[in-house]
Amino acid sequence: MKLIGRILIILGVAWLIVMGMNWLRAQNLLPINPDMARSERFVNREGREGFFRPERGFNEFRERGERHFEEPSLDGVGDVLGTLIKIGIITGIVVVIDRILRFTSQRVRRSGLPMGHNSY
Amino acid sequence: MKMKQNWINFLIDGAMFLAFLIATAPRLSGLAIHEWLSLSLAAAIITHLLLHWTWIISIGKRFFAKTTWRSRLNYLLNALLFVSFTVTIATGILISREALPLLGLTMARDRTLEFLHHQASDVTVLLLGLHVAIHWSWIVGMLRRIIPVRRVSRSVAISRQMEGANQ
Repeated sequence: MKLIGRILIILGVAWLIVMGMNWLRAQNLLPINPDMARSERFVNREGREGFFRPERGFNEFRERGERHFEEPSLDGVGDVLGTLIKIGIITGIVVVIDRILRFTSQRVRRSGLPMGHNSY
Repeated sequence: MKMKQNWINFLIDGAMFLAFLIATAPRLSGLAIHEWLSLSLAAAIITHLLLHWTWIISIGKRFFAKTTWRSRLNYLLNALLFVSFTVTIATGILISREALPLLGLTMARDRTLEFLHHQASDVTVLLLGLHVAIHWSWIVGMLRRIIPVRRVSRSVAISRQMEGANQ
């Protein structure tokens, strides 16, 4: 019973977030609009870049632009590596900053100097 | 008991991380696997939250009272990660072309939702990087239990060097 309650709380919060997002979208408060989204760049099957313009139908776009990832392809290995590298870089930067901060605070503590800017 | 819980967390989190990596590359997996894997990821996120329920409640209660800034930052970051995951998965469900039609549901195509899906997914990658960074020492600790790194202490290394020199 407790578990079901917790699951319902999680789903309820998620539902509220989605409702909030939808409200923002309806009020045009999100930093995107349909025109902007339509002009989003895509790379078509032949590897050429193109634009999905409002006057072009979806079928044309589908025929040329989107079928390229409907079937599994090893071309996407680069995407996985790209994401892994992005996460790795962010993690690395934060870990290094954290180590530096810990190191400096430890040195301050060891040297017996008072911490804080206005202490001296 | 605590160690067993740690291993369960580590395995689930590792599987989630792997699933997330594959889900961010629909060109690799294909659209059908991308959608079903993402839905499984949603279920895994709920499991992850249930496993950390005590922490969520205890820090949530103390958020404006007595707690460390590190915990506050961690809590805020996790909340943002939950929001971005929810937006990514919700927009993903709404623009689904494989999973939803299989359940007999079809939605009108919306480019705004697709754009939002990509943006939210990019934000999720960023927040996930920060999430991993905050738990880095725990991850390294768990990995060291799997792959034990033999660390020679300084004194042992010096004595070995001296033994070598005497011979």
